[in-house]
Amino acid sequence: MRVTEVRGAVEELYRSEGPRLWSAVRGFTGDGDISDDAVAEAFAQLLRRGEEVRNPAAWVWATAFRVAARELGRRRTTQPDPPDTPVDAGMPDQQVLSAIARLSERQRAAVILHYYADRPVKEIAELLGTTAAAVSVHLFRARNHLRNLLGDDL
Amino acid sequence: VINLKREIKRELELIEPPDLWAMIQEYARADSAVAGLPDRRRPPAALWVALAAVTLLLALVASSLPRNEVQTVDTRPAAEPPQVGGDPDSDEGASSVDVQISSCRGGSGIVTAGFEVTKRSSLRLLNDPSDYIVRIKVVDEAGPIGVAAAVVRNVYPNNPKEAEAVAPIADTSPAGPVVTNCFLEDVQRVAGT
Repeated sequence: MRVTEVRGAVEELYRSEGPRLWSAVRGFTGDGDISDDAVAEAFAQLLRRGEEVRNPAAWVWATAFRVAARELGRRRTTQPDPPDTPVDAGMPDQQVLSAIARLSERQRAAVILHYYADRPVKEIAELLGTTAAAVSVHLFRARNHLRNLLGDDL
Repeated sequence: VINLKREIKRELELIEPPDLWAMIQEYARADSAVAGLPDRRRPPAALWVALAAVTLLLALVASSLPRNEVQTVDTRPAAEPPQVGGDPDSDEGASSVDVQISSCRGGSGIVTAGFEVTKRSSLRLLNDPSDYIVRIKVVDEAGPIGVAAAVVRNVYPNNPKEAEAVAPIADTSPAGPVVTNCFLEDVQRVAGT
């Protein structure tokens, strides 16, 4: 495949998956800037790798989430007193996202990937580099935590 | 569960995703530019063997050429090294390096300024093999008292560096300079690295 063909294929994938992926990473991180960078980084790496990647859609999701998780980790170590919740996660019409922001990182990723991106547990496990059983536990605990935070609305 | 799914979707869709395609292409261009630079951290031994072989071959070819050929000399002035840093909207690609001053302290004629090198995107772990000269203006209550400078190698984001004053720092008080602030003067990529 030539460079222009790779570029065209990646752009097509970005147009179909990019906005949804961005929203998912935004839900996971609670931060628009991290989402921008993580999604752009994932697609840029895909452009560079071209045909090396066998399943570009799955790969780009996994890469964007890993990049975002790495940045969240970096911020934890470089910012001594990070706020409990991301700054822009507490808008009045975003109660559920605000509650999700208070979950652990793994729980957040599992909830967003399962309930927003409709990924099955097994696929989430592969994406997060863990087991399906662990993802199920994350989802179970996340639901309980969200129920405590949001009451019986859920 | 159904409510949770619906509510997450509804709330996330309230935030319009940006169009990142231009940013993606810019990142890809930056990756290509960096990939084209020599990686001095891991010089492969085979490279030196190949270079020696090519040099020998060129010497042999040159010695076999007739001596009265017209030599073409490029008399164009050398290109200016690209100025970098500061402008997040710049199209410099891999040359874009941002620097933030993180600390500034001094006394007894020497000032040490700490700074952090960041890329336009703090996520991009581009191990840039280029050298950069970072100059930092040091200021006390009376005004500028000197410039701290450092050559930085293997630039990667959020890697704290320190620049020690290389210019004499003027003593503006009996106890020596009381550094009050540091400002980034410029970041310049060293040509040919």
